[in-house]
Amino acid sequence: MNKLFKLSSAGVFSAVLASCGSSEKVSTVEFQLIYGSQPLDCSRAFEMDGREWVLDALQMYVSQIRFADKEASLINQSDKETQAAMLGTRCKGSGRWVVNMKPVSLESETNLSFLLGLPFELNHGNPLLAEEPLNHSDMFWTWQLGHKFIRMDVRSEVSEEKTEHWAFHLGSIGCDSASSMRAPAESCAHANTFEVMINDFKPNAPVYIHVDRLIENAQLTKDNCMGNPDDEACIPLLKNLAAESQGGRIFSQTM
Amino acid sequence: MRKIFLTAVAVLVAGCGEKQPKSDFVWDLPKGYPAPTVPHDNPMTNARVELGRYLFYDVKLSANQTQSCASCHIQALAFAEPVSVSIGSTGHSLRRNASSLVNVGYNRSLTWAHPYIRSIERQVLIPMFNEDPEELGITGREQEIMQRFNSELYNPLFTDAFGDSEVTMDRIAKSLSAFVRSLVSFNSRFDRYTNAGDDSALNESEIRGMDLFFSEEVDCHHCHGGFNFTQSINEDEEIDEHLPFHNIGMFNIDGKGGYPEEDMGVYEITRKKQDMGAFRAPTLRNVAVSAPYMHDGSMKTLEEVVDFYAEGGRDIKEGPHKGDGRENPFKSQFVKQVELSEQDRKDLVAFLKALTDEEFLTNPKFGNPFFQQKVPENGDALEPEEITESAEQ
Repeated sequence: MNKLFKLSSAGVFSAVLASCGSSEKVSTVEFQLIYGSQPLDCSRAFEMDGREWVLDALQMYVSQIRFADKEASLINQSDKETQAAMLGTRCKGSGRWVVNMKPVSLESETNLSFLLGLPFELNHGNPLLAEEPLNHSDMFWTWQLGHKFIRMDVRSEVSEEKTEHWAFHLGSIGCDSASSMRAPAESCAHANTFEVMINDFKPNAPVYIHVDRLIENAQLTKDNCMGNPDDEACIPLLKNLAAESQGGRIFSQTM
Repeated sequence: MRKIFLTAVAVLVAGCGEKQPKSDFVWDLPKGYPAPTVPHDNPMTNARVELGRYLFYDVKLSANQTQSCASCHIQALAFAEPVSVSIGSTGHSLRRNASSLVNVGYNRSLTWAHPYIRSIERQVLIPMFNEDPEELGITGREQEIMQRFNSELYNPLFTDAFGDSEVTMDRIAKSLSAFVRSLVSFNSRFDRYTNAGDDSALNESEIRGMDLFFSEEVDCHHCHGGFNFTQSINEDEEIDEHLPFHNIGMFNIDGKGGYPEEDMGVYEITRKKQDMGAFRAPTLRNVAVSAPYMHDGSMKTLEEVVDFYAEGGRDIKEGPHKGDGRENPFKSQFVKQVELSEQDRKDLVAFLKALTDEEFLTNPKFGNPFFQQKVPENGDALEPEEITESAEQ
């Protein structure tokens, strides 16, 4: 995390030096996990529903990153241009928290927007031939012929013998797109992608991911949410995400 | 016009993908029968089928090396399994009965209840990568598993199949699919009676059962018709998208057609009410050896299945699944109460048993290669029971 943060700060710093007038060049956007007003990582517990929970995974895909109306060209971990970025951690290493892109010149008071998830055209190829970052099998959603857009797995040690788990997996569901030779009759029963809008983006500050706001009103002691909008367990989560298009609350540059 | 367009598309697709080998695979089919549909990016070659056969039977494909595909898909049982639901490599129960793998290359859709999984290549990703529950448990262990196939035994198999010995998950999925696609079965006594004109192939009871099966009153053939005894085939473009799936009245928990929350069939995929409790009508070829029956493996014998259909569904009188499935509002119009004498029922079962293709169940081409050849010294062909590494969880 530290190393990545330093790298991204250096990126931002050099970008600032290269700037002229009121425009700045940006080549990275950094994200940080927050719970309440405290940084969150896999080693820190958070409290919810009267229990202490610890992350086992929190990963997501973002795509269509735009500064005002300019779409950024994303760069993957193999230094290739790509259309999606993965953020998050499986709690086995420090995770990835920086989106790399070709430098973009920003005017002041530019809005940052992105799609949380993958558009239909990106979501349904053969995952075994997909380029990084769509090649991560822990984000495959084979039953839905696509990828998970959000994977949040948490656990709570109720007693020495008993550990409870809760999971929120989101992706497009009910998509007719298995055949590359046939146009889909209808794309998906539920696309489950969400627009996020961050007004007045500050390029030298991170975007916080407020996990407490993501899971606000969810009941972690009850059922998992596997992306079905009709499920009781999903209703609050999808409502929280739907509000992001009006100005980020989960994704925000303020603590 | 359509044909020209398709050709153009095929050329374009072939232009941007890797070069595909020419098919040298010969289908063993009765005269006039169509070959299964083969995806453009995975042509049938003997080398891919053979590599797929090794992989299908090799426990190295599961992360903890305790299971292969063949653990749940047993040749002598038409590649089905004699338990109601399968158990994955880490000991967790799946929710469905392992499908038999008979003529699946003809299927319009794969698995019990998914209108959009249209190729074996897509289906096979589920047992490979599923995490909840784990089946082979490959997710996150790809490198380690692929390394196991970088061996004296597999290097030439991969080279023959794909041009070089590189092991990739895509090559594994493609060769497994080619092997599964090669599993065709058309040599039952019914076939000998029908195609070869051998009048002695079926006895009187079986012939009476066959006549009942294809009769309008008993109406089995509407869902289990055609040369593969299922309407879920890829051949007929006219078949409506959802016709291969049927609610047969197994449950009616809420009186409004509800199936148990743990498995609601096609509804789970499409989220359309009318798909509640709809499952694919499987082929009936080799059905006598693939017990137990239904998506949840809840019926143990063919007699039980015939009684179920004669009743027009199932009335569960007590327990958490209580409800009269016969009154399920989403039930297929073809599943209705029908009067059958004891002899009728016996005849129907006798006919279903005549759909068994003994040659298919014992054909060494489909069998375990590790039991058919000398075990190499590097241990590549360890027999499943020789592997002692225990499951992780």
